[in-house]
Amino acid sequence: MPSSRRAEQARLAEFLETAERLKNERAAAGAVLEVVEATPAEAWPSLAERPEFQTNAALERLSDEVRRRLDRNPREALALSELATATADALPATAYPAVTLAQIRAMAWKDRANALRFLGRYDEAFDAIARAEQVLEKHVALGLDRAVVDLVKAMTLVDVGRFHDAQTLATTCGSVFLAHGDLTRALYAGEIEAHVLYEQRQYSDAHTLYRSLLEVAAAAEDAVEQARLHNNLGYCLLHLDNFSDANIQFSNAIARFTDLGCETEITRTHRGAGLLMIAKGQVRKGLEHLQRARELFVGAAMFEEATLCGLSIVETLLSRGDNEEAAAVIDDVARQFVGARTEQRLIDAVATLQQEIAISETPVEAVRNVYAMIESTTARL
Amino acid sequence: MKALNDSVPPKRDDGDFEQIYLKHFPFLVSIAVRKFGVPPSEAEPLVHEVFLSYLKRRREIHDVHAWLLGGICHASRYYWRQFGRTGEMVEIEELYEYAAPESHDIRNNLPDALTARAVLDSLPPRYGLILRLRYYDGCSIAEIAEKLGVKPKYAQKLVSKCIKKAEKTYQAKGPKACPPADAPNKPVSPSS
Repeated sequence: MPSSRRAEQARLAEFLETAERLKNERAAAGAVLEVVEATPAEAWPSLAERPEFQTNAALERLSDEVRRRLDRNPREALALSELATATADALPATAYPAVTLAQIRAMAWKDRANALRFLGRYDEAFDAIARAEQVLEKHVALGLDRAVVDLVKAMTLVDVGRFHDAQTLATTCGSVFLAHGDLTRALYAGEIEAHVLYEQRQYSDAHTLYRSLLEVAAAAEDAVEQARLHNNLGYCLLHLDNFSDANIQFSNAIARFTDLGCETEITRTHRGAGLLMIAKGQVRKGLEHLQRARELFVGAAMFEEATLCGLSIVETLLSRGDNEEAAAVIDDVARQFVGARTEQRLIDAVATLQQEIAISETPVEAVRNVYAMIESTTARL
Repeated sequence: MKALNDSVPPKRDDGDFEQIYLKHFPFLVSIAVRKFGVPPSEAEPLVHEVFLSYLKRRREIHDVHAWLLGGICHASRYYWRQFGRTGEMVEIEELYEYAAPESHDIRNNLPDALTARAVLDSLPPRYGLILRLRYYDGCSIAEIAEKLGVKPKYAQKLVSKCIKKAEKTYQAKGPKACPPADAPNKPVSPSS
């Protein structure tokens, strides 16, 4: 048999063997997340030693879980991503074909970078991205994986204000996604470009780009993206002083998030829309959104966030001289906050604020101080 | 503004791996070789790596053919970028190892393999590809015709034309025009 034929057969055998193995591992990885749930977070690093975690499928499950927790609990997402990188890096070189192993390791480091980004630990996020890039560098065929890492890098660059670099990278990786027929990630890359325009206060251009992306999201039947894009269109329209259309977009976003059951997103949409509307002078509508956000946060037992919404309402009311209503709201906020399982000093601060509003010459300043105190604590949690 | 994360929900699963591999492999190799000028001996492992990378991504792939095609196009471009950095397109030892028996004359007629490589690199990409297929990969005229998508008679003409062009280039430049052995050798990047 000629050597070229032997090589062909060996390659096919490797491909089929790897396919079978990944498939079987995926079928057997069901219990991984149950083990995570049953293990205290501080003991998660020890899970890297367990054989059932040392497979591609287990690491895929962890990756999904990291992404799921990013919004709700980025600290847990980071802890899980640290477990994933430790496990992936410890896999023996012979565990999978070199290309597959590189994909596994790079995606674990990419997830870790993303979790660090959500926590605002940008230097470490860039270090994690560099690790992922390094793993992928030697593998010519892993263009899509490189683009996925680039996507996270572009998002991180946006977060640190390096907009031009972010835009360049987003354009490049967007074209890779399109070439692979990966519309969803191409949409994400497009959103980064639009986000950069928004940050650069080119609201009209950002609006145009978001609109075209919305059409793509509709064609791709990506409901989450459509909801997110409606929300972002609302922000652009507010800055363009088109308040009625902005309201329509926010309503569309909330309706879609409601259909999808994304409670946290609904609440955040109300809160974001409320704050921006008030800043743009649309006080009545803004207060309605903030009040709704506050109710939803209370319903979800997220009392710190509910209190922040309440304080924003109080500040707005005080700013327009409505001290009586402001006092009523702060009483309500304080009453709800007493039941919260939070630091006593925060509860005391809100209680003190009730009196200060009545007697202080600068009640707005007092509200802002308490707001900053609670906000910094929430960010640490 | 809503923050992005990079998650993509699973979409579709694909079935018969062997069929997918056998169906697409030759096509992807021909894309790497014909469109991007990747040497056939490099193109096959490259396509194989694209297939392996597909396995990990398959949960999120809508259209396998489009994905594999995008994969090999991107991999071929990256291949050239990498070789552009190292300055090596084909290893000298590799040239000898894979040279077809009928290529001995060509090699012997030229001062050394480096000169041969330099001459090949100075040719337009398509000329270089044809000579590599014929004299380094040992392809028959019929195989070259198949890879180029032309008739065998025309393939024969093309090979003759390429040899003439190579001789002309070699005579015009002469051995002195060739780079010294340790100079970085820049391959011509194929257009996409």
